[in-house]
Amino acid sequence: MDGVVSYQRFPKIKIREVKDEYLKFELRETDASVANALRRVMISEVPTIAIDLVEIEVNSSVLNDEFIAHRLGLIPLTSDRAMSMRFSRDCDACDGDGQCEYCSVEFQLSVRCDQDQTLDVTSQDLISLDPSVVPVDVAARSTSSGFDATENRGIIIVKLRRGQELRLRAIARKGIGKDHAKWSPAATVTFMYEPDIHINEDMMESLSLEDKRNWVESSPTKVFDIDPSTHQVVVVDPEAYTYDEEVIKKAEAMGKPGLVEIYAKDTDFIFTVESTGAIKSSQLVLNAIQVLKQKLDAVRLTEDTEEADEQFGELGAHMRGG
Amino acid sequence: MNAPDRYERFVVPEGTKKVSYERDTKIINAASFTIEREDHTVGNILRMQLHRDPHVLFAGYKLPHPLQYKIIVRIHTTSQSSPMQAYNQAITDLDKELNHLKDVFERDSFRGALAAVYLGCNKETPNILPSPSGYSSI
Amino acid sequence: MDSQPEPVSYICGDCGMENTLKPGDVIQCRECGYRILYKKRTRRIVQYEAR
Repeated sequence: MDGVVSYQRFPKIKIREVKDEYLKFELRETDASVANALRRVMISEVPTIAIDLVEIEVNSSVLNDEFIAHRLGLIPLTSDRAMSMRFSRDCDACDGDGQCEYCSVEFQLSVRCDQDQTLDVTSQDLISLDPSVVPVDVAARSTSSGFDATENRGIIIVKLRRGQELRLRAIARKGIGKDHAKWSPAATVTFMYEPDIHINEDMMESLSLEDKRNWVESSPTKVFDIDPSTHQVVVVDPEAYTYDEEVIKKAEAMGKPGLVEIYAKDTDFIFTVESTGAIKSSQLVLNAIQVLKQKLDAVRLTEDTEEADEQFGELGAHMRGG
Repeated sequence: MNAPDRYERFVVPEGTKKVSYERDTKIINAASFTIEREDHTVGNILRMQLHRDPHVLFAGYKLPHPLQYKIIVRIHTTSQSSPMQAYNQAITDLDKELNHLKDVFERDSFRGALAAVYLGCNKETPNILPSPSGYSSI
Repeated sequence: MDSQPEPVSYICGDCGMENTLKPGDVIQCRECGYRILYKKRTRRIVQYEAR
């Protein structure tokens, strides 16, 4: 019954650039559906941790309670723990209130302004009860990698003047971007088709240098250039091409249709991933693959579905064949 | 006020099956799979993977309504196969592809990190992954 | 959460007098009869969803 044949693909990956919060890589020999599934999962289904519940004790600031609660929710927190954490909705260690070590992290904030200068309340004032889950800028300061630590003053939550006070307790929980964008680990994830550019060399040589220059200039992005010694038109950056077809229209307008042919290779993609800092960009891709695998696993047929079909099949055969 | 909870988009309600299967009453080897709480992410990769199977005559999916959080995958196969067999095969193949993808990604990012160390270019911190498995042969 | 029938304080919009009202009371200042009252911030802990 089980097919011995397999229609599996063996995609290739080449990583071009890695930083903690930025990643550029080539994904080859697969399909746009897989590339798009990865992109969608990275944006909306890779879990992170974010503040979800705020208990405000004192707030005499100019911002109202809901406003502050919303701002707290949007602060990205280091979420390396998220994949192994539980969603509080299916956590059985705590009885439904979603406030235990397996599914939540508690934060405390208590700031009062007793000076004439305005006081900034920032993410650095949030005290985490779990050292592995802290606001990303606080983590970046202690490791010194990432963005410039001296410039970093934290994410401003509210400003206080003399006599104003903010005191609260916040519960951070695991979640996904589909529920609320505050849980999305991705700032941007994009992929583009790798362009395949063919210049008709014979036709190109029939152009004068002036015409070549005009044609090269017609592209809004710098895809082509002219070799200063040979005066040949060369492709300098195929990925700068935005599929605007300006050069094709220009060639036609010059009476040279077919001067250049540009195809999108529908099996090769160039990905750029930018993370919010909640998880490293490379880890984001790996987590996306794992999440997608889990999703596929969940849509596998269960045995009772298959059994029900076999019975149905016998019945069907009985009905058909008599 | 009366907006449905956001989690209804991805939490399968109790007593509901994730996948249900319904044979076509008129055409043999044709069936519809209703997958609860899934969307284009799974629907489209399944469809495209099914298209690679030469026994599959038709494979398509639809999201019937944006507020009904389910997709319907319809498969029609030749008599050498069955919709259920094609469906299982597609999932298995995609799973293997993702395993492969994970391996090559880890291998390449590990190699990149090594190169950065050897070349001594420490301007950008090499990003060594927490769990680079399967590189012992390098 | 709101089980304790704690009276809530209001401040009169005219004379500034503090009034405590219970559910069902007439919304009116006891001092000057002004019918616009402003709610004082509660000292109870209030919970919000960070969304």
